[in-house]
Amino acid sequence: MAEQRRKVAFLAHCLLNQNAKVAEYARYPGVVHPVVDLLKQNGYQIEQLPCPELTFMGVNRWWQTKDQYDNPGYRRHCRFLAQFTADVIEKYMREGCDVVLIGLDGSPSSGVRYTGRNPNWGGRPNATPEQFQIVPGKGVWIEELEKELQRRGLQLPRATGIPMDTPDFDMQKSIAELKAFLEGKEE
Amino acid sequence: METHDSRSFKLVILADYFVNPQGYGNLPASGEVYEILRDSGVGIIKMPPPGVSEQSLEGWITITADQVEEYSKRGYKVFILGVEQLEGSGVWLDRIERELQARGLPKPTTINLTSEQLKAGRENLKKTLNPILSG
Repeated sequence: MAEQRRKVAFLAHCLLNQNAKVAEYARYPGVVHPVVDLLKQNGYQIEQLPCPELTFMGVNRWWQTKDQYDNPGYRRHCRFLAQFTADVIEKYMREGCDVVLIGLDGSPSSGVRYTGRNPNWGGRPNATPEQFQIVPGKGVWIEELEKELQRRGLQLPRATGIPMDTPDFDMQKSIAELKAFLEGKEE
Repeated sequence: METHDSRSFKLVILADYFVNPQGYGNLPASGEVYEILRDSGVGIIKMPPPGVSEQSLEGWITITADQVEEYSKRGYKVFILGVEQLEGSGVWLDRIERELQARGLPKPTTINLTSEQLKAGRENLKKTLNPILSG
């Protein structure tokens, strides 16, 4: 019988550590256990991506859109993180593992399918959640990480996101979507 | 700062072994420590797996120390949890400590579990992990 490929999931940092979230967006005390436990139950080894926002702007940062994070300094920071993160991804790929990327949809940094935008944000903060526009697209961190993997000639991992930064987030629905993704049945 | 959300304000820098125990030969392939931490609501900062390059490790140590510094400064509680039997306790403990010392920062409360403690059962593990769980 053929040996099964080892499976490794690279998770957005906050799926293991909700303390890294921007204020008002931590939906769990620490680990987002429905997601992590589903991956573990499905035989995935768990790896954690760095949180570029926390390590750039700190834990008391304001809400930000992709339009604000899309600047040379933040992209340079993401490229710094991407270099040593890609080393770990590359190690698993070269070992023949099935690598998947689970981002955080709606996030200006870690979104895979959806990110958050508003070209008018900036200046004196008077933001409301409704102004944070969820649009199809990737966050700045995921873009820079994928660029680093492409620069190394590596295939991009299959990727999805848990939409915890979207206003209509529903964990049950998200878990069903994640199950479909893991089974290769995603839309 | 008031965050008005569910965060625990408590984190642990954790050896890869605790999240991915399969593949650590002579250590128990048990998820008990992960489950205890998960159920307690502590956030996890998992260190990379063994075998990362020296150059790559420098980056991981830098951002780990950055996080210890930032979270501690803002009043979050930060702990380190390693395994005595693993090199650098599985968290490159000496490297983290050296980096924190260079920044003039105190070392977080650190627990290094022995093989015996890992095999001692859930209730005993909870007692050993009490500084983190009740911190």
